[in-house]
Amino acid sequence: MRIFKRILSQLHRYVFWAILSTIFWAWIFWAFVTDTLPRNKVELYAHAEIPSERDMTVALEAEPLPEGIRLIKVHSYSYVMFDSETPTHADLYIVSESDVAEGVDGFGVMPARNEGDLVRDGKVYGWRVYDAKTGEGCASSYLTFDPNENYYLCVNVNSKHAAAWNGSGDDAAIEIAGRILELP
Amino acid sequence: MERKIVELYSAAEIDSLRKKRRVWIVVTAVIGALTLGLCIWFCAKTRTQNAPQMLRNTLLTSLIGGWIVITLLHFCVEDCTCAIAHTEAILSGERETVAGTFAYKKEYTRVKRGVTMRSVAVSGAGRTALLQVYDAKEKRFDPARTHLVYSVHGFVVAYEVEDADL
Repeated sequence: MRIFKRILSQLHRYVFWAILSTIFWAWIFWAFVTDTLPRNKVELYAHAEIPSERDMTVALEAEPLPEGIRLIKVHSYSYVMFDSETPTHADLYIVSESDVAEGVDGFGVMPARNEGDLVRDGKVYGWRVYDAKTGEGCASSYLTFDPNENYYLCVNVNSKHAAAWNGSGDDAAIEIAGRILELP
Repeated sequence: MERKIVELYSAAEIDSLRKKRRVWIVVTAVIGALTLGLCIWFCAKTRTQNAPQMLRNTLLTSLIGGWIVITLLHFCVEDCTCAIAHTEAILSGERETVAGTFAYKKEYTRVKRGVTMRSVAVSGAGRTALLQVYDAKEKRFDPARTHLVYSVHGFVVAYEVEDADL
């Protein structure tokens, strides 16, 4: 009974530690363990519903990551505006045709791939990843497309991981773009 | 019949308590380091597919390890520190003689950063008083066996017994 009373008298320390350690380790996890600096990650924002961001990330990380890349981040940006800061730091975008006009200034030029590419002023700004006419597309297991819209995979004009296309950094985003096209 | 004095405190106890405190500090530090090491290891082993599980493991390890460290620090290390301070104060204090009939009371008291003590009622010559016995010495002091105790700062530090009772 005495020991129980002594433990009770210190209850505030135990509660304080529970709160402090939970906040601290959650912060460490989300800031440093499951995220990293832009130069060490490739980030994709998709304007399509992603039932499981983790599943898509795991699929993209199935093969060894490009040198210098520690992780791939996949987000659905249906809840943020295109002009907010977070999506403008991404490397790759999957955008619907109706949103292309809003963000095309932020897209970099890509090499031509096939007939359905997103072309503006004679330049390719996106690869079609979902064809509304045929209902065919890549990564359909991981993305829920609006069946009435075409979708395009685009690269951020300022990405540091698309050296072959914009002359800066490495080609990690290009490699990941290739993996997205191969997703079932 | 010869009377003997039973001492409840000795200088050797202080060394023993210091050693005990060092051991508890080392044990606490080892557990703290193990906890931290495990948490860091879980973080290092985190991959996309196991991130939720690793976070849960990290949080649980930190929580339980931290609680163990808190318990050891408060109930073991601090207790030794308080016992050392108490014993040093007792050994350096001035003794008083208290005669009467002694009986333990049920209450235990503990002051902050102090030791737990049990009250001893003293009655005699039409008056009553209270002394304290450090709870670690409780078993060595039988109030029924004596009518004369020595006290320092209100604590029973020694008592007289008939030789035959030893």
